[in-house]
Amino acid sequence: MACDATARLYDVDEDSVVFEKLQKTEKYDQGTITFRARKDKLIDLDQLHESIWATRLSGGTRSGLVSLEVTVIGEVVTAEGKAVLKVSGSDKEFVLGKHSDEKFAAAFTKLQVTGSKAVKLTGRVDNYVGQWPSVLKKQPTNPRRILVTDVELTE
Amino acid sequence: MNTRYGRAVAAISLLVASSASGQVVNGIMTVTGAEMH
Repeated sequence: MACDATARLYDVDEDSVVFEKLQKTEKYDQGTITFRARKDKLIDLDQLHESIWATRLSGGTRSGLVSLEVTVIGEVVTAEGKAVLKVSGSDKEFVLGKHSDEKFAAAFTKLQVTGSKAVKLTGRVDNYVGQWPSVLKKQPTNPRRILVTDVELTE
Repeated sequence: MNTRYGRAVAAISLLVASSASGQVVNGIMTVTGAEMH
């Protein structure tokens, strides 16, 4: 399996990058690539974007990005009327938005009561979808916007 | 069959291994493509 081979080649933990084929659709299957930062490290989404771009994925294959869901840890503050997550251990931040799916509404509401406590937040990166390579030609907004799907206190 | 997916995984592997600063503790990227069908 390509994932196993890659893990060996780049000397990463065997279970840190995992590819799984989902077979969700009839015509073109979907797959997920899960990944996690090493201990005491954080993954930079700008580098992720640039690195995938550097693989020179070609067009015309109907291959592309369906979604990117991320988990971040930090403190939620309000800035200019927007909920913002300031990432712990980094100067980076995310603008937080409500997911269009109502089943995630409670997670966004929960943000209002977290105060200054650290939270572990999961969500989908907004407007990061499309076929290769066009999805990579668009420079992501800075800061990125996350559509919140889950929030939990870490302390 | 999985060349492009392999490249994407390779890119992520590099980042997980070398990123010194960033934002994300983990992630799930969902991809699709003709190569898999």
